[in-house]
Amino acid sequence: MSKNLQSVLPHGFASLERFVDKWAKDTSQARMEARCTSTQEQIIEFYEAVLAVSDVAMAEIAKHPLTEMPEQIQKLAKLILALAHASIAVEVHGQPRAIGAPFPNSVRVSKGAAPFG
Amino acid sequence: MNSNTGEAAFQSRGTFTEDAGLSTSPIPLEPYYSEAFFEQEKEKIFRRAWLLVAREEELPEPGCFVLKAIHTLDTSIIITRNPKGKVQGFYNTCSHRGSQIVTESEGRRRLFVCPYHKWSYDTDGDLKSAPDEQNFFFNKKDCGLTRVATEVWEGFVFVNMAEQPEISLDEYIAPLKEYISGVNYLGASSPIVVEADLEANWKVVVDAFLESYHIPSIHPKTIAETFSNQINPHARLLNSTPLGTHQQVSMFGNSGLKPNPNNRAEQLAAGDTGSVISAAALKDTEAFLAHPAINPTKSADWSMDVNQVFPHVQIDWGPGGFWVHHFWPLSASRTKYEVRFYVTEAQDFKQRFQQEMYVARVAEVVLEDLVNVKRTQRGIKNGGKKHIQLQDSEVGIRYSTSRIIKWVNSDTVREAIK
Repeated sequence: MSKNLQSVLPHGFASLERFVDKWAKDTSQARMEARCTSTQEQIIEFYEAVLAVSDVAMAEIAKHPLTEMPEQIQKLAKLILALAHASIAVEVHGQPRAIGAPFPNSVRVSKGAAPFG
Repeated sequence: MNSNTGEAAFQSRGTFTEDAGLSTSPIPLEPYYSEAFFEQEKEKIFRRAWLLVAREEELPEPGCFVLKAIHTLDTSIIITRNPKGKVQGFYNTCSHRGSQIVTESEGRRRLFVCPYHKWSYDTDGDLKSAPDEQNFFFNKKDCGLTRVATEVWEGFVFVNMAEQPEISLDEYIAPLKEYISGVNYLGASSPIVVEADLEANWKVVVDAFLESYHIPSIHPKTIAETFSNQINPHARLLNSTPLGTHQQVSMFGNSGLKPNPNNRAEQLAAGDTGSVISAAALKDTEAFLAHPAINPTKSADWSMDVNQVFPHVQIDWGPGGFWVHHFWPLSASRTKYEVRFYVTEAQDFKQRFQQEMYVARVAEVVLEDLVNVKRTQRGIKNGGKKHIQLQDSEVGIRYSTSRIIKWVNSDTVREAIK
């Protein structure tokens, strides 16, 4: 299977392809970990890239019921959900993780919201 | 009900402590690190009190079960729903040779089969079959699973670990029940669960969630602006209501809070309530908010109420719904923490994104508390300090600690809850 031949995201979102492996995760916990294991530069790069297309992406995702999203839409939705975690670093802490907080630590989201929690 | 209203209330010293009939003296620190005191808490509190362990929605249909750890007593309870819909609790121990029967945290089954020799039990705990049964000497009727007293109140499942509970759940929660019954628990079937292992005495953790005085300093970026403003810069309480062995405190909220326009992800998620500790649409919550025990002063500047359900649970609610903290003491200096945020299932992706913003934010708040309680425990455990000072808006801590000490010193549960 070659990723070069077939994009994993819907048409029009090629600018986000390079973030899929790191950020398009299945659970809230994995998205939180993606943020905690990234540098602030990587987080800002992802944050800006997603926000640049977020309105279009939200509209595209909204065309599909939450429980019946095609594979490509699911990937895009997971990237948008990861923006929530990236925003903690960018809009709240100004750094990848809370000031003075150890990493790794025992805080875990053992069950998120459905779908993709 | 004792309440703070108007600007002046946040200036001169409050009267919650005295109104609750509590002493204003410093409180003793030894219960916060003593191993001997912890052993007493285990026996006098956790083996005698009714313990809130689950929501009924975790068992949506007959045959559903959950396995709930009673961490403090190092055991686990199987909670089942039988074909008639009744919720019952049992020790997770086979009547044959004592093996644990269930290892999954939840599921659905007609029979529970012990892995050791395949003894099987139904959802009423009755022994249904044992291989080579005719070679045993038992009376099958005597070989059911051992029952744990289990009662349900407004969807909350309580167990009592005493062989014979001294009082009914009804009597145990009477003042709380009178005050908060009839609340519509929005989203009760879909919790978001966050867990942590905390290096602190359970009371250090419980206390951190009974006051908002710490919020401007421990959570300056995550939630400080939600709980304080210029009129109430130190996040003083709105209200304090003793409820027998339980209690409620009502916390101030900054009604002027708006999403920061520079926070573009927050703007993308912005819901109707403008609060970062809310994940539901306002229209769903109007009926919920009308309840007299929810924002009891009906203040425009309200963030949330904490209902301490003795000993180890807090049912909290805010403008967007409710969440439940479970604080399980593991030792004098370790606590298993779990919080369940109940959110109504997302109807569209915008709502789902709001929920993810909420999850991301609350996990950070828990992390900030994790760091804080560890630092506190390390400060406490050297025994150098014998007492701590509490201000009037920390009345919840004073009430909780005095109740814990009372339970430890009481010969009967009836005396403890007086």
